[in-house]
Amino acid sequence: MQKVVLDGNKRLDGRSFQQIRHLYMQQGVNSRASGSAYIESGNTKIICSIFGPRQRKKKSGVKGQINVDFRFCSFANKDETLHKYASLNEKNIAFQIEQTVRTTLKIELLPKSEVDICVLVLQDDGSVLASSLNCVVLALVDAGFEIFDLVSSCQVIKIQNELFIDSTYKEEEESTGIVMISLMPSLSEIAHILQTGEISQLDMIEATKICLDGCAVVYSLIKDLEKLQVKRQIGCFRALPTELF
Amino acid sequence: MDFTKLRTIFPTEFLESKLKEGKRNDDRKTEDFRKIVYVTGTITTSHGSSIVKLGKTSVISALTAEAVAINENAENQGIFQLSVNFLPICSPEITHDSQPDEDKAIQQHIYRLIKNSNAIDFENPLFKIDSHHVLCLNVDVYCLNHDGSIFDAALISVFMTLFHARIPEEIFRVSQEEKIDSLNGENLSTVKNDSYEKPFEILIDDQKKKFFEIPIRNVLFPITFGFFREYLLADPTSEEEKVLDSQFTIVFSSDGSICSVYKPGGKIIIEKKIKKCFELAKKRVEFLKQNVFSSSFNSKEKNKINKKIKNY
Repeated sequence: MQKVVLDGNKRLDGRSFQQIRHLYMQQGVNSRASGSAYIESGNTKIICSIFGPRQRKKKSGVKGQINVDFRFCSFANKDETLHKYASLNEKNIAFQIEQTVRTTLKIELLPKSEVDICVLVLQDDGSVLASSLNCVVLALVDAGFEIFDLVSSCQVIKIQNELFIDSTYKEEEESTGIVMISLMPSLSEIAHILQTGEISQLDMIEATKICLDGCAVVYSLIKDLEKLQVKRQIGCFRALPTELF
Repeated sequence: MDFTKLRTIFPTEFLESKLKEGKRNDDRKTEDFRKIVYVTGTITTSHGSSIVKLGKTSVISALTAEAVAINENAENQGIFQLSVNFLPICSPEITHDSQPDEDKAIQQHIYRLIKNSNAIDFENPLFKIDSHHVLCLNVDVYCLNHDGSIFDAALISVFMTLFHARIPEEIFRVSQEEKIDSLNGENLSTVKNDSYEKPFEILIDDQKKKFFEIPIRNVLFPITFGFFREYLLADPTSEEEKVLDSQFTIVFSSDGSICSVYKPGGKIIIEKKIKKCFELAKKRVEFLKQNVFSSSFNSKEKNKINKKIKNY
């Protein structure tokens, strides 16, 4: 474990155990969508566009419908075994996103209409579900939908006896358990919680605490997006220049 | 009637009224092209990548190289695979129910262009790893924002990626290990791990990793025009593309010859207009050479001079 994910007391990218990666967020990247956002968390790069609300094609039912189209780019991942199950994995994540969006979007205000949420992962370096949920929320805000709260998500993984927040792809490969939480901070309600793998009860409580702290940090960043963009222009951790969008 | 307020309902009339003022929907002149911005090397999981933005149209492409085994009968030269994808993310017209075949048409067009125009030197010894393996280049193109002239953006992006690709040395070594597996029963120690002997140059980057660059013979420059009534519109946007009479794409090679002329259907064009197109296209090619691809050319030359060159 020491060599694979740790460098002394710190992680390979120089973070401590409970520190999230630098976030770069931008709204309005797609001119043809009603709302769009781009998020970059470390090396994880995700772009999201939202189309609609538009008329439902299938006439049955009066409820509003949410369609999620989640895709990985074929070059997003180096791991070849994942490509086999890519479409299954994509559908699973799409379902998770839809469930979370349902809790925050006021879909009852959009009868007989549908909203298309399209997410494309340009590069996968861990915490894909949490990052894409953050990206979707930013796009929802950009599109001007009425939402209850800015849902902010974060992921914690367990490797042996240590808990790591906002894991990278390399760390996820070593992990024995994953906890992902979406928090609605101003209501202090949990919108979505997903736990896979083996985690003891005590560790689960501990992981939830760490995860909620992470969510709070993400929330403050999403809230201060305007301030953040100013910081980016001075700052360092940006791979894509702003002129691109 | 005032069409300026009814842009989406009467797109044809709106464009016409704008053109009479000598402008277009985005306040360009009829013969103006859009601005090109690009970034390379953002996707670190690939061996080379680029994002090209032509106006608001944006395209991402990435290259992954791998060693593949070939049949005995097949030609011993490099393999090039291309996939162009327009996912629902890029445009409201494309949904998961109905995906038009535009992307596959563009994919075939670009593939044939690169294969037939000898843009990449596939017979270079770089592509022949040994008698059983050749190098395979997979280029994947994804459209992020479909706002007209997508073919131009895609082709420029593919060449940007090829230019900036760095194929690490390990790829050639992996194939050696595979070869050992295939040689059942033979003494493994006789096969050295890095026994390849190549007559081409190996470059070394800042982190002292060895890598290869793709041998590119010439670069292709695509230029798209649209015809609307008596007007000639350079580099049309998606809004204009919907109402155009026909479209016309010319692809120039970097040595000045024409690689492809493509006019898929639409109304008839007069010869005079085609001549005008060629004149404008030549100017555009010079611009692209000097401004967009100049840094690529320069950086390649710099690499050759500054970094250590080893001839094996």
